[in-house]
Amino acid sequence: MTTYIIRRLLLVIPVLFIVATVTFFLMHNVPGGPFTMDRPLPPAVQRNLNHKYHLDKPVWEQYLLYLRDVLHGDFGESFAQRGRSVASIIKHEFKPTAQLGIAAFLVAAVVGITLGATAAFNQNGPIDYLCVFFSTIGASFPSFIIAAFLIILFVVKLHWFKQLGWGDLRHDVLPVISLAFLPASYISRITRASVLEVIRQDYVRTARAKGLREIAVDLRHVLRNSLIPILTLLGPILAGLLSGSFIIEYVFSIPGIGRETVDSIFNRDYGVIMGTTLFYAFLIVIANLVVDILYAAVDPRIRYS
Amino acid sequence: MRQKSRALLTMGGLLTAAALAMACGSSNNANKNNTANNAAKPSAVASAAASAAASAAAPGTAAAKPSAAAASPAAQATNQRPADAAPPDQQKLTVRLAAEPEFLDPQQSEFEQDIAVEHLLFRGLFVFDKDGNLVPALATEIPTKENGGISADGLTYTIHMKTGQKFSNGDPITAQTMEYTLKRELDPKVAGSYAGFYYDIVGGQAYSTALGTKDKPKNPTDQELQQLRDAVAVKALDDTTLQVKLTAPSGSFLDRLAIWGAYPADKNVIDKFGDKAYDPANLVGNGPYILKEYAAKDHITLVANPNYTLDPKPIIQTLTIRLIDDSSQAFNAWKNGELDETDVPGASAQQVFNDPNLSKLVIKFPEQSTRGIEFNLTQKPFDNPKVRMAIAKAVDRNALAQVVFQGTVQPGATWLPPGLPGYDKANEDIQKYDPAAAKQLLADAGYPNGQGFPVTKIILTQSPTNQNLFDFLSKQLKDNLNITIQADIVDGKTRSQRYTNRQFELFWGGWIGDYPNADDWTNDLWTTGGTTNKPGYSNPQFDQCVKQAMQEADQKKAATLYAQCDKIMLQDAALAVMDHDLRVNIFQPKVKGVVPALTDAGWAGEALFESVYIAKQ
Repeated sequence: MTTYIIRRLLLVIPVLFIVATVTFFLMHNVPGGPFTMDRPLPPAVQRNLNHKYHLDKPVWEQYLLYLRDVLHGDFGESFAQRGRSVASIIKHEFKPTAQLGIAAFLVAAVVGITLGATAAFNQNGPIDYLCVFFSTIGASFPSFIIAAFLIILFVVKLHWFKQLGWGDLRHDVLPVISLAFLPASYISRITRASVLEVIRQDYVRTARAKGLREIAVDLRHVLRNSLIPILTLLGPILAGLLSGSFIIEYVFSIPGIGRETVDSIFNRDYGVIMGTTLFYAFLIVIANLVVDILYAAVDPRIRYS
Repeated sequence: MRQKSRALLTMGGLLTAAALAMACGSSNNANKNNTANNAAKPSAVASAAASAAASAAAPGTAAAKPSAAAASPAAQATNQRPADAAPPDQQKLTVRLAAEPEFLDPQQSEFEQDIAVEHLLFRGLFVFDKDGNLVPALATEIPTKENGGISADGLTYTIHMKTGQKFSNGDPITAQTMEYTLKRELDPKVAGSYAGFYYDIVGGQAYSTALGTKDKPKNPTDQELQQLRDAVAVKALDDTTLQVKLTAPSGSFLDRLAIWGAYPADKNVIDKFGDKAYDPANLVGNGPYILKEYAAKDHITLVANPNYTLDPKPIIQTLTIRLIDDSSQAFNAWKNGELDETDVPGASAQQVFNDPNLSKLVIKFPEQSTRGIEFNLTQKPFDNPKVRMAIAKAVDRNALAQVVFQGTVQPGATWLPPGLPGYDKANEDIQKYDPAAAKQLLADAGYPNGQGFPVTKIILTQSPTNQNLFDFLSKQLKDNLNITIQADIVDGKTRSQRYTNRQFELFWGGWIGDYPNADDWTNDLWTTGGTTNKPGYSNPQFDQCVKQAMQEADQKKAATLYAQCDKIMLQDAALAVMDHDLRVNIFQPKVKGVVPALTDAGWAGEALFESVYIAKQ
């Protein structure tokens, strides 16, 4: 198992290298640069700017310089927020995104699994219908529509919460709920289907026949065995939530990395584009690894050589 | 199936509650970059020459900087507090900026949001009053030929500065400071975007272009650069006298000394911190406010500068600038009391204007802006002036302003906007809406009833308003001229790139003025071979007219000449002018004393912010 983990971790390096290369050359091939302005600059001024930020060198040379800097831990500086290093931008802006992402993840996982499992245990009961209804709504409504609903009701009409910013309860509840809706609906769906399948298995009937209390049957046998398909979902969901939701961060004015990723592309902020892309790639690789390890933990039949 | 697993449900419910509580109990706002009160710390105020282009966030407009100052009411000049002002501890204001400043270095700034904040952190030699006239700030008086400030031949400027002026950290501001500032603006290593505005200083262009261009780069040694710098004709004759020599007389040079490019730079701070001199922790200015806190992408906090050496002193003690992308969300926040000021979003404009209570709180004020359909004049079919004029006459501007922009713009048909010297109402008739005349012109050009006219594309950025704009324009051109246009939707940078490289047929663009002189609107922009003349307009008559107007010493005569230049351009239909943008802000009822000015770059009244106050409630 340990060798497996080490091998997977070593794979991170070539993955990131490929991501970096493809992104770098794609980025430089898109029209416009960080200093392309609405008002065209006189050629001498354009030259001064490009020279100052080393953009006048050929692309392959800039690429090699970038690689060299990255290997020394220097991810460069931002053009759109001059004077701030890419590393510090990511470090600062990841914090609210991570808080938002983890909170939304926990809410989605708990609500989703609870609702889905309860629905499955009470199939065709009222909870079941609620679960199906909820998961359909959650999957059909984009997060910003849900956000708009919540804002109109809770901010503008009731004044219970504040809309813009991040940091305390009054600011945080609505973005977390808006973000959690979609993953919660998916998770509840999958949970319900998975539990329904497991609950019909022979070994569950055996466990009951052996005289186990229902709750023990439900938790130890049914849920545990239903978890694999749910786990498949949870890993990428967490990675996706951690990389930030641009829409939610935009609507609620949260200074997070989701917004930064999209903004940097619009601004052609090369250093930040590279930094956020590499960061996201890294998160996905790690999330996939964690899911695979959890598989092994949950299902003893799965073993990695 | 067995009994309901109530336990499961309750457990789930408890866990959810716990998760929510955990998530929401997160610590109060990360990333506050708490800048200690800069009064004590030395920091360099680098104010390189003004950047050439201030890019506003507005789609479809070529960015330029508005600049006209509003006059302060008499009470301000005497530092008298208005009778209904709340006590000082309640003088707090929260405003909205749509985009984050790039860098608060006046010599490198080009975006409106940067300039808006710099209006509060710095004061230059002169300031514009609300009517766009120059008023002395660091200078003692406005130099003129009569008082000897300008030489008889118009080439030498001698500016006297007030004594006792200081940066917020106590460093003195002298003529040497201003010499350093202007040279910094022209320094090719600083790469100020507005350096081009100071090329008429003797030696200025040579210094700024010392590195050559992309096609013909040069590599001067440090010694050569120093020589070029010393050759720039800006000299401190003594501590309070600054002398500048120009290559040609100009009616707008003093205006250009009043804009951000010439905001004083503190050499001590720049020498000490280098590139980091304008980081929030180090930044030092001389304006009515100092930077207290800079939370990236979230908000900026300014507090009144206790060492402000000019008058009047500001009344608002704490100004919080919140950085909010989306105007609809900002408006919700305003309704919720989280903001004291915001922009009225286009979608809500009609509703706000018609509401008896809200409409009283709105301030609608012209920006120095003109917008319209620009053409690529170097290729068919728009190389034909009849075609261009046909398009100009085929669009109903009044309907455009109402239907697409909900009354947040002012319809117009002149390049020079109302309020700018050189604007002539009579010129509005040249491109007036006249569908019959438009049809005739198109037929005269060889496309009767649009027959044979190619399908052309107009470049726009992605936004709901631009979608409406395109729908409107394409329908008008179809109905009135029977020609078809298509939308070429691209993102902001691609749009700028296409414009710079002249890769367009039609373009929704325009201009925002940097200072209230028409040379900013004509020279290099529409003159033959101008570096910023991307449409490719060329008319020697126009060139001659502009040259004459620029050299005219009498500003009134110059204005008449500029009106003639405008007429030539409009008759050639160099572009099809459509409207002038308005700034539409809404304020909480407790905010008083707002004096909007054409120089405002962020929100109404910010260029002359000393007059704003919170009223007693």
